[in-house]
Amino acid sequence: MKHLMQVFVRGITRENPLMILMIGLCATLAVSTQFQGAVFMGIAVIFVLTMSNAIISVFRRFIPDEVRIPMFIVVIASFVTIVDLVMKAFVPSVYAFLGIWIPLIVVNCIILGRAEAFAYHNGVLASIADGLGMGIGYTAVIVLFAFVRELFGSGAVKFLGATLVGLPSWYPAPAVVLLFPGAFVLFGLFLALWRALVSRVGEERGVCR
Amino acid sequence: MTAAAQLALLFVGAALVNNILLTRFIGLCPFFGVSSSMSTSIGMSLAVVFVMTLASGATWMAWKFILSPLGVGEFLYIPAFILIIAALVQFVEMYLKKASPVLYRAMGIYLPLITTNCAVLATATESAKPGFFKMNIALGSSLGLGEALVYTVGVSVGFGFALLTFAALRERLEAAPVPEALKGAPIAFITAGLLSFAYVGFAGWFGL
Amino acid sequence: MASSPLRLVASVVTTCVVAAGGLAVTYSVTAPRIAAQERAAEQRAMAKVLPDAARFEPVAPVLLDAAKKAAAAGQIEGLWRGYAASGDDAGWCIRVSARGYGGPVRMVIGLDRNGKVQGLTILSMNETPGLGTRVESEQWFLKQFTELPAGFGDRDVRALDAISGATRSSRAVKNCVAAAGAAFLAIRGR
Repeated sequence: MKHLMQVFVRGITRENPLMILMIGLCATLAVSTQFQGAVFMGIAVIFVLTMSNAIISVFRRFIPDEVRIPMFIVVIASFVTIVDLVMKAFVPSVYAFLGIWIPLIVVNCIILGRAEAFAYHNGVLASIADGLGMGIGYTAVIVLFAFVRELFGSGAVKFLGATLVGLPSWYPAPAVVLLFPGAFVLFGLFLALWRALVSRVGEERGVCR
Repeated sequence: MTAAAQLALLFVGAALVNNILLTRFIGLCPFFGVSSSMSTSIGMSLAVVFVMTLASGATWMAWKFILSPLGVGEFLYIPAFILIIAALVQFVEMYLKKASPVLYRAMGIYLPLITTNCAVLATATESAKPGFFKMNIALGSSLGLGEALVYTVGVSVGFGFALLTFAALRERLEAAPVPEALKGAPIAFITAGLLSFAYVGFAGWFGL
Repeated sequence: MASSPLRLVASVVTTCVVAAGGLAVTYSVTAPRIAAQERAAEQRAMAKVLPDAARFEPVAPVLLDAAKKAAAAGQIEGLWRGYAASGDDAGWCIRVSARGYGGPVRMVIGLDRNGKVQGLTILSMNETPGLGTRVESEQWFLKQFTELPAGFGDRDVRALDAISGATRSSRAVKNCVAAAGAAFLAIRGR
């Protein structure tokens, strides 16, 4: 139990996929213009990551080493398709906002990376804990970042049509926060801040290899 | 507008106005991963131009002649496209190794990385599956094969151009005094942000 | 430990078949809902922009073609005639799209029998959240179109205010309305 907890927490702090491992960045910058979109993106990633980790871990003894990557990809792509179809059916406006980023979860290196590095060598419970931890670590960052960007870029944060927080109307809401250069610069600052406050970098691992 | 002018616009729109790296954030992994030196960036850019174009052509045909006629495209396009790209990369790698050692040396080691590069999957999906292409050009709801290829070459050239400029900046950055807290990834992001400011200037060109 | 080629092929094929089967089932469950969602969104939009109408019927292809030809500012995607519960002619619903900043802005516009805008709503857009999307969230902007005179023309639309900082998104909405106005002039009385 204690071990599972450790595996879970590690994904959020010491090995946070976005802040420390630096993988899966693309979607983070792109969908963080909208808090609501970021929340659903996070849920989608948690679902795909946990389910693919679980399935791969269950069947790990039946997966031949030589063809493991194509098999992982098929499993991951299937769960992504489920998310794609379910979102289209139940939250069409979110689906329209996320657009290409839903199919792109397949190549989000976090998922294939965890399948390869963790689920393929560990038990089911540990793999689920790892998937949840990494997924929540990812979601925490993307949601927090989107919250900051939407709040300071548009002056108010909305979720499902309701305003969660609003800044006073004299706030000028600079557009650059929402435009693409703002995403890069703010993420750089966010990264520096996270590393100073939450966890120091042991080793900055190369991306997506 | 003539067809040729339309295609030229499509190319410019894909390469500059809607630059895949700096305005759409697709494919950032290699952008930050390999951009620390100029030579690796050149190899990566070549590999992306090459693979992306092949991948778009292949997925376009798979959609048109297999997935769409069979009626399974809506729920099989994700696994199908990613497997097509993975298989394609394997074949290209094997072929290049035999046929052109020079090219293989230039971009061989980048080929496996490209399978999981979101830029390739994104562009292939936008080219092949109707409904994903969002650029402001009146081309109908889906792209023809020619348009898809022009679009893809435009995207990949834009990718290479952004990657090379960024690599040049990062080589200079090596020698720059950077505050302790910003060392490494944070300063790379801020640099990319400044570079992407240049692309704000392209927004609205030719009404794109 | 090397596996036999047969085992490799069998593993991959089995995975693919199971995955495809599972997805086919998911698709068969979600497909009707996806189609229903799309229809419902369109119906909701039409009911909102033409509140007097109880039912909508697509017009004959000849009329649609005439409307498409007349509308230079945007692309007419669909054209419906609205009928009140009593059976009276309630006006027109026009689905139209025009280029915005991040992609097409698609709208549904309701015109009464005389060509006055009854209501208008945005079906989908790819504008920058918080910037271009203000064409929807700042209510005065869309409201000013309902104050256009009956049978308005292109110049009437251009004279209206745009949202500062969202010029291109504003222009897209104006183009949609101008296209709807031109379409109406081409088909009225037919």
